[in-house]
Amino acid sequence: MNCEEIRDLLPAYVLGTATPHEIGVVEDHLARCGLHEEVAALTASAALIASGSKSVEPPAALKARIMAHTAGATAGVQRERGTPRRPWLRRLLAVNPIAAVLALALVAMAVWNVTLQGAESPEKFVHFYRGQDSDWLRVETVLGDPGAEVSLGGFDRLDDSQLYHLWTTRGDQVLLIGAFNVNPEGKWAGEFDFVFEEGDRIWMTSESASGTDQPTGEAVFKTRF
Amino acid sequence: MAESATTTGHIASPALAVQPNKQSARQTTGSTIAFADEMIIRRNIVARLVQRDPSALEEMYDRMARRAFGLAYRILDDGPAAEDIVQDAFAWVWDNSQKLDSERGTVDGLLLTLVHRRAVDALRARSRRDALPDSSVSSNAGQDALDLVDEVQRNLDADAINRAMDQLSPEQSEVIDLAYFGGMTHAEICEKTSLPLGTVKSRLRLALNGLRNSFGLGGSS
Repeated sequence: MNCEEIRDLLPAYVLGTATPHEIGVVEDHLARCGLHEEVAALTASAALIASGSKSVEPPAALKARIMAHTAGATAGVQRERGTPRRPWLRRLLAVNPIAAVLALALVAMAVWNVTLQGAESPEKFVHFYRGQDSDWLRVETVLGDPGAEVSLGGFDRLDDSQLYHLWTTRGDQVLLIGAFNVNPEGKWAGEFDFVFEEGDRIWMTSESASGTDQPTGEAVFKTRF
Repeated sequence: MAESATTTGHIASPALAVQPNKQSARQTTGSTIAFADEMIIRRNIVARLVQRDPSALEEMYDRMARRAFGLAYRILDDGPAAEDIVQDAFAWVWDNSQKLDSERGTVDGLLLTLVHRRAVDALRARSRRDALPDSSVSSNAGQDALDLVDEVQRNLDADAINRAMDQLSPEQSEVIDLAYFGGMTHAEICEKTSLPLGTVKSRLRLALNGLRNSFGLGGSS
């Protein structure tokens, strides 16, 4: 194809609607031809179409969800340099699945503030809390390492203007673990890249879905590691 | 002050075919200062994003979320799906913030490009059309284009960009709408409009070159 024929394909290429074949043809040509500036100008023109779109107010909960992601991802970056989570179980599953099942059974029995005595992860920790109203919280983590699997249940689902916020009190500091809403069954499960430490007190409040750095609502429950 | 002087030069550029309206023209001095301040704020946000400062993402959200959500909503016409797209795009910016160039003006263009790309992918998946590969963000031309977007946004506000869009003929607007907001390929636009392939291609080319001229991004080709 010559440059003129390629120019016919460039609009679809920069609008992101070119087929794989058309992209291949355009990129083959661009590798040998000096249309780079033209492509950049057309790509910018296409991108600017978005700037003319009408603004629409998103739901308030969206901001809290995005900011909760930053809390997780910040620690996630650290995790790449840290100890991989549960490597002992993966290795055991690969070598001896029966032993792995037995190990899982041991873990299942060892809830209620039990520090597991595994050879490779002695600091593994499972915390279980059960309240008087059938509400419960389970946290599985390695103390001092980023990452915790959290599940809970027995809570009322909040309307869209609010989210549950999970906090930790550590000394005189109050740290936000994350925000979420429970499902219609009153349950939630997920993972936070939060670093728990021994002695942390965990508690939960309902807050505005727009998010907050400091708790304002009344604690739904409190429990100490 | 150097920022103001630089921006004033851009504002006065004769290359900009879309002229400010009379009200904007009377406010040029104030607008110039506002644009300079705006660029300082935007650069500060990028620099803080690179430093992994969550408040930078929050500020970016406060400034950009309505436009990003408006774009996703226009493409998908589905609030919850648009929310997911916007969340995904902001998460991408955060997860890749350490790769951002702190010398780059802003990431606004990048965010909207991400939202557009993901929304079109979702739209095509919903209508059981094949996914299209991304050709725009990762290439060198794509990076240069994002700089050009910042350059144009420094000079033209959303109203001016809309006026450039209004200068397109109805036929050109239709094909741009189908391609950009409908995520349609040439063949799909042909099927939708019953136009010959050559006509679709030439209308898209004329439309995009018209926008390029209006945005002051070089002559038509």
